[in-house]
Amino acid sequence: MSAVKIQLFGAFRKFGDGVALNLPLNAPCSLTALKVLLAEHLDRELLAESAFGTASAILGEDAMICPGQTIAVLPPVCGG
Amino acid sequence: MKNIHVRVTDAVITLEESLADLNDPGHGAQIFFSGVVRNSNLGRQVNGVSYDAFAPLATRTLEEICVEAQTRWGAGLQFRVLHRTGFVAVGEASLLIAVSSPHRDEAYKASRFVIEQIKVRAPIWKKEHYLDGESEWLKGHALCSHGHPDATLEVLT
Repeated sequence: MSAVKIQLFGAFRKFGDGVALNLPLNAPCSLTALKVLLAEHLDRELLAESAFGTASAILGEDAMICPGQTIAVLPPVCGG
Repeated sequence: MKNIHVRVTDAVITLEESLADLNDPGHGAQIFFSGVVRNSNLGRQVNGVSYDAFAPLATRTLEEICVEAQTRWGAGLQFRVLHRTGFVAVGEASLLIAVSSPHRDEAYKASRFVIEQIKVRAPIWKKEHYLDGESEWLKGHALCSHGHPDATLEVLT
């Protein structure tokens, strides 16, 4: 079965193995649809406030996610 | 990227290492801002902060912020920005922003711009550790794909 790898940061580190979560995914899906799937595994309230990104960019809401891809779930930030 | 040096690092930040990058003889101003972990927050006694970062995207974001600052205040401005990851004890630096420019006005403004943008755009998180043994991830600013370029306009104009 194919999967998408979701990297975890900040308050999401308490989920999965603390580094990433492998979510079964057999076909491309929208970021919106992926969030629905992720809601079964992560804190829903925090997920609603979170963005998604790759190593080079924040993903837009219309992004398509493909099996085998690695993306990061990014809770609200507080650097500095 | 010309005149821009950024790094997300688990190494201790020192002022000395940033000085070598600010070397333009035509510059008469150097501004250094250091963010330091303080010993209390919202009435709780703190003994340290753990910083987590999505390092590749954080590095890219810091570079983008510096480029935007050069666009606003001069392509010749020099930047050195270092941000810590891992545990940072009270009194230690979590962040250093060094800016060099021909005159002080643009250096002050660019430095303030960079720190305010980091707080709302860089994928970096902090977990406070308290003297009572508890710890907590701090609430932050939600990211969006277009950044927050106007977040500091009020203080810069």
